[in-house]
Amino acid sequence: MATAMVLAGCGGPPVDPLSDRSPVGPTVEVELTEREAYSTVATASLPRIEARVAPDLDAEVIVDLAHPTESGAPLVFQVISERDGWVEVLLPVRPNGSTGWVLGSAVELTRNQYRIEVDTGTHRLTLFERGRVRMEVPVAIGTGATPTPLGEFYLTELLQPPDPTGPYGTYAYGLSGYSETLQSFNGGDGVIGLHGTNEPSSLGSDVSHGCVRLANETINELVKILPLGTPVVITGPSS
Amino acid sequence: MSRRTTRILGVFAAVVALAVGLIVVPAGAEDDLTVKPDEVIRGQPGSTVTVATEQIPADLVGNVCDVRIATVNGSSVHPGNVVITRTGDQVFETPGIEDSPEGKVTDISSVTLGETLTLDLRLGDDGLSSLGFTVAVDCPEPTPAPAQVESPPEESTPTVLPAQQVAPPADPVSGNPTFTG
Repeated sequence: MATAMVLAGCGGPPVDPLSDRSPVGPTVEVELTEREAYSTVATASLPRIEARVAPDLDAEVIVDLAHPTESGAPLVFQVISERDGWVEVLLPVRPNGSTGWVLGSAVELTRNQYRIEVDTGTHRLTLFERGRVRMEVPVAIGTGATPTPLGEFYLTELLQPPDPTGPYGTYAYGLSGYSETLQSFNGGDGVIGLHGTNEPSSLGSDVSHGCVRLANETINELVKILPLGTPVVITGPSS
Repeated sequence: MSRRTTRILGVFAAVVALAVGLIVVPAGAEDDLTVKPDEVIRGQPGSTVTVATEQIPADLVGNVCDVRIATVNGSSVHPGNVVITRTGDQVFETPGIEDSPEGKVTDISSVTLGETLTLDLRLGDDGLSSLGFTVAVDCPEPTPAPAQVESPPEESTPTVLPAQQVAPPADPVSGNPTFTG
């Protein structure tokens, strides 16, 4: 599918007639491949999806997941790779970073041009669109006792709380990752969220039980554009 | 899933020989278009110069396709130059194309193709440009509807189609979150 590119460059013979100008600034190397600009989302097309340890029907089943999910959201995965009719995906299960293989015929693939990076060291969330920065905003993260887990996750569900003035704000995304210190929280099983807040003054600090908090205005903007399956990469100060 | 690529090659003056030397014409070359090179672009700072206007094949008009701009700068630097791509009622800009020596910029936008695709260059402070760049329009090839499969997918021959559609924004579901707030 990738488009073959032909780059017509200056710099070699024949000589650029304007090359006598002094170079200014650092060299910029921004060469986005389609793989870097887009990710792939797999959305279940069957009521249940089995993820296996290998791309083989005889391989061990890691997990059997329902579609739609318990919250009513479609079951989605972030695609890692594809091989012989199978799709390797990130799984929304413990331990964090689990992967598995699902049948390609059991999912529908779509392209996603968005990616989120959260730097817990700087308390900043950066939204990329086709590899370019579209938004950079402050966030609150987990405390030292309940840290926000680091790793590569993706958006699994989008909930609209009944009370927009509550602690989750106007919207809350669920991530595929889990707290590594809390096995359960508030009746749930410790899923990390990306949500608004009723304490905007907390942004920029370590105050949560592991979730990533955003201003309500920010989450409202994200809801307009982000598909489920959007990659969320969380890094730490030493990453 | 096959795709069709329409390549529009825009090359300014000094790089034409090199560019032609690099062209690899793919199969199905009937869609490849080459814009003849102009001289080095000169104009008033801030002015816009139309570099090329190309007709979009009729069967692609109205299709949502990826338009990919790839630029490679030479050793000269002309800050503020911007490639502007227009088709139908859509416009997108690719800035920073000559801001640094040997700099490369690749920009991809999904657009609904109009009848023509026009490439403009808005000149920066020095009113000069000597850039080489390519524009490729990458469209999905129409495919027949998939056959209905009655047997369970687990028993059928697994196939995976490359992702073609852009994922839509998520639909919110009403509910009380139990995330680690």
